[in-house]
Amino acid sequence: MRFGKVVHIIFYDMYRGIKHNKYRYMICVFLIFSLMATFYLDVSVLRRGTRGDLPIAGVFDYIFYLLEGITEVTEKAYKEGKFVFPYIWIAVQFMCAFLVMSYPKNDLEGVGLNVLILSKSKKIWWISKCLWIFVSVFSIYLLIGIIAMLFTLLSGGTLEAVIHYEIFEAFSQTPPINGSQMPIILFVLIMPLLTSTVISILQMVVSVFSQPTLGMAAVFAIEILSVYSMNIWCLSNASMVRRSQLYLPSGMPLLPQIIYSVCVLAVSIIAGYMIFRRSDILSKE
Amino acid sequence: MKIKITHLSKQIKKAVILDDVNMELESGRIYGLKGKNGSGKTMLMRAICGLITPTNGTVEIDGKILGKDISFPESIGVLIENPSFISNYTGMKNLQVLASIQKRIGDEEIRNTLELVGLDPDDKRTFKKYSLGMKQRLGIAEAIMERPDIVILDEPINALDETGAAMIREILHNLRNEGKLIILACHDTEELNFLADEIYEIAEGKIIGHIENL
Repeated sequence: MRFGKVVHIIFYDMYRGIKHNKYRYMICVFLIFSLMATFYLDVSVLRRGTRGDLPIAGVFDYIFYLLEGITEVTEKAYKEGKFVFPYIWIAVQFMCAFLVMSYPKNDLEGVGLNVLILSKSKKIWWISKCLWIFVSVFSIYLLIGIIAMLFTLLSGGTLEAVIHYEIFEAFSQTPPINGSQMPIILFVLIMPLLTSTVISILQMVVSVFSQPTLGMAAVFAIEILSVYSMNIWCLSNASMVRRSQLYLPSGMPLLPQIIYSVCVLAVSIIAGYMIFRRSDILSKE
Repeated sequence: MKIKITHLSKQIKKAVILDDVNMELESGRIYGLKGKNGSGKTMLMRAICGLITPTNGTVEIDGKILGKDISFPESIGVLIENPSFISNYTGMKNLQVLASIQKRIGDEEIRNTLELVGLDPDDKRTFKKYSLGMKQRLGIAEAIMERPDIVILDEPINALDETGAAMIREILHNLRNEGKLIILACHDTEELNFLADEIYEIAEGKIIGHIENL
């Protein structure tokens, strides 16, 4: 297999995949912008009111707002009325799923079939789709970073890697308890990106061998289960900053999470390819 | 080029789609597949392309077993069911993108192929604005543009007017004379009798008839 041909097919897939999703990207940009605008306005209201002491939100405050999730769901949280379903965090997870949703399956039943036959390689098709998924997920986090930076620059906040927990405390949220000293970018961006990639690959495996709607259902199940169950086996816990060791010493252990996520990623990619190699490529039903 | 299909069977869920199909196909001939809708013609074509995995039996292309030695035939052009292309590209652009995968042909060959099937290479209309007949012609162009050793066409004359159909007949005969192995499915018996050197009749996934040297 010529290396040039492989690269060419991959770039072609990236281009087609992104073009396929252009309207979905617009929706994601609108959603991210709206969520961050809400945060900006909330902070502004507090600062204009009795909390003029609060700092201007910085770039990592905006990112934290989207990716914080919640601490562990306990009976005490219900009794004290402190349980708030993490709609914002789940919206970000569903954005990734929304982008991945139908392109691989549609491609296989459409133009991609010509590409598959001409390239003579199911392996290239599969690798290309996995790379496309990574690019799509990365693009969501990139959008989050860019829009966060925009709000920060416009409001005069800091671009430094620091989270102003006092802002979130002002929203009646519990502050972190002597969390990790490791770089916050690891917990706030790297782990969520890795987790979203793993879940998106799983989504593709389900979608390609059944239907895109089932893939979305699988994502839905993983996310909801993760909200209510704080343990390493529920993948999405790794993308909730409030459940990480940045926030709590007893938070999700970082290294085991990374190992688990990478293992699930590798197994999904390899097992998915093994199944794809033997599966039938049929027409649209 | 030789295709040998031995005891090929395919079951999907509990439905038998192909049932103990045996065929030997050679270069320089046009093979017709005749049968009602749902008889297994398209599934047989998909099996020869490497798009489905047989439940039993094998498809050999020049001694290499599909799904074991090779994933897809080395040199094949395919039009199965409705042709799919990038909707906001022109016909020329679509074929250029696909031709750039193998890099076996250049713009000149693409232009010649488009003209051969009766399409204008300089037509600025995008694929989504094509009529059914134009889409069909583009699908055929894509299947033959690289002059593959095996050409598989599912209902190639569909949606074509008489001029288009005559053009395609001539193309297929020329390809046959160049030594290509052509397999085509057609529900029109008269058309098949005119085009094919051998006709296989398929019903319920089985070969029920074989006529040679028409």
